[in-house]
Amino acid sequence: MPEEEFDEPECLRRIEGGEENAARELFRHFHPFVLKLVRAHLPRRLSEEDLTQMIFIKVFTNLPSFRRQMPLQHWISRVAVNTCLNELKAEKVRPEWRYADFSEETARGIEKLATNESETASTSESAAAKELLGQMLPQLSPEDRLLITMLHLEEKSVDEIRALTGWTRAAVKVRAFRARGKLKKMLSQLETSARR
Amino acid sequence: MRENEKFLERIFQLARRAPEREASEPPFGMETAVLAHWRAIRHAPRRAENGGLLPRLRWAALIACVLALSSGVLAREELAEISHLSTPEARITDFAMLAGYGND
Repeated sequence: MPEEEFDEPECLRRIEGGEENAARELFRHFHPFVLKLVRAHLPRRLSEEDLTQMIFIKVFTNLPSFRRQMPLQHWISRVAVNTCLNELKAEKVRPEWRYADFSEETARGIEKLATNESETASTSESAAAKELLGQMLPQLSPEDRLLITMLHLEEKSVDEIRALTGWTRAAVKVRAFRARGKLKKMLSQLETSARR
Repeated sequence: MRENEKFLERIFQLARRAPEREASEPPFGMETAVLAHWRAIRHAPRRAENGGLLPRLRWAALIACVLALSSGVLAREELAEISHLSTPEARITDFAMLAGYGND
């Protein structure tokens, strides 16, 4: 549905009045947005459809308490981020991570990444970087994983993260620094195991 | 470590550039389930309609706390008054009377 067709206050008013079509419109309008958030913070044990559905059920359950002090999209993203964080926290076991687990192609891509410092990069290098991060991020705590994704992949500002998570500015900065430290340590380990 | 810092920054940069999967259409089953949930919560009795049990319970607990506190304060005052009045001799006499001495 194109952006200009969605009239948020009108849609909310109609939902309040019990119009099912308005609830459907809201769902269809925000589905791509929620799906994008879910894909960025998806725990391993859940499918993206399950988590998206869980988020929409929470959205509709809590919609009567939405005070309209912020845009609906912002409120929905808060619900989505908190749901993802809780699901990540529920994921007790973190997967083991070894260099040997990468496919030959990815391992080659990572080696190329480490040696090639030019600004331009091939699609395979971008894919290798994404896969490497996909293996490294689950090693972090749920909060660190969420923060690194929002700060470095989604390029959200510290203030935006603060608004979404409720953490203080200092907490965001300190946590980000520590999480980056952990990732750097992982890269060192990767380097060591690649040399063997 | 500095090398790793640069490498990490490069990984982030490239991962951001990696093409994203297109957002697919919402599955029909999901839409149906979400709307069914919306209908169910809409038709479920609201708090105010079922008599607002939770706010009443909150008030009852609050009143019970206030009563317990005030009766505690009153009892303490009474006890303080009694213990102030009773000298050691009076306490011995009270004890003797309670024990039944002097009834014979």
